[in-house]
Amino acid sequence: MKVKLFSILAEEIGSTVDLNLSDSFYAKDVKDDIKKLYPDFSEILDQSLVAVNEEYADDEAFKLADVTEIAIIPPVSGG
Amino acid sequence: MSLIKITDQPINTDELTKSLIHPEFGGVDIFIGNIRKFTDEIETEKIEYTTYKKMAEKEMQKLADKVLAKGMDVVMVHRVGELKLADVAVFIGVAAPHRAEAFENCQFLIDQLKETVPIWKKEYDKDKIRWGGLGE
Repeated sequence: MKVKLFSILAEEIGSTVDLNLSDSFYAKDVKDDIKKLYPDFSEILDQSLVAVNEEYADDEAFKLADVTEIAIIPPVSGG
Repeated sequence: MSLIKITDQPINTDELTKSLIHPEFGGVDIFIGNIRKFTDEIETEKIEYTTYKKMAEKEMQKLADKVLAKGMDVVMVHRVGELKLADVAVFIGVAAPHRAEAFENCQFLIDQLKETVPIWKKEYDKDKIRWGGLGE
């Protein structure tokens, strides 16, 4: 599953990161999987939220079959 | 008619303001956010905004819906891409029957936009680059 990255994570790591997710998973676990690959970004990932199918979803559980899109949302700074 | 969008084009504030004028609304409150040169001693040269556009427009719509449900009209437009000093980054407008609710809901929308809408700034300051939302 290609997970979308934005802001500083996209610039430093790339616009997506490819993860092997289990058939069912908690959205927030996606951050731990990325931390294992890119430990230097642990602090930013801890401050980030996970969006599944374009909705904030950190504490929710998902079946991979129901997921079309996952994104990591670093602290937002619009306006 | 409400308008919610993210654009890479300059924001036409006059046109957006005119779109909020209706006979049923006696008060229109507008917030315009521009690129500021100084933040204390830090001098900014330009800001690059990026977004997760589909989700950002959905989140903006959710906020707007709360105000639209109260019978007001709403315009929320955020610009992305490279913006120079004094460029308009965001336009929030609320038209309401009376001024108090126009003020209150306009503030609600810009405050919430800054909390929940996936838009990010990369600030090119004279001394270094700063990423919004991450502190130093």
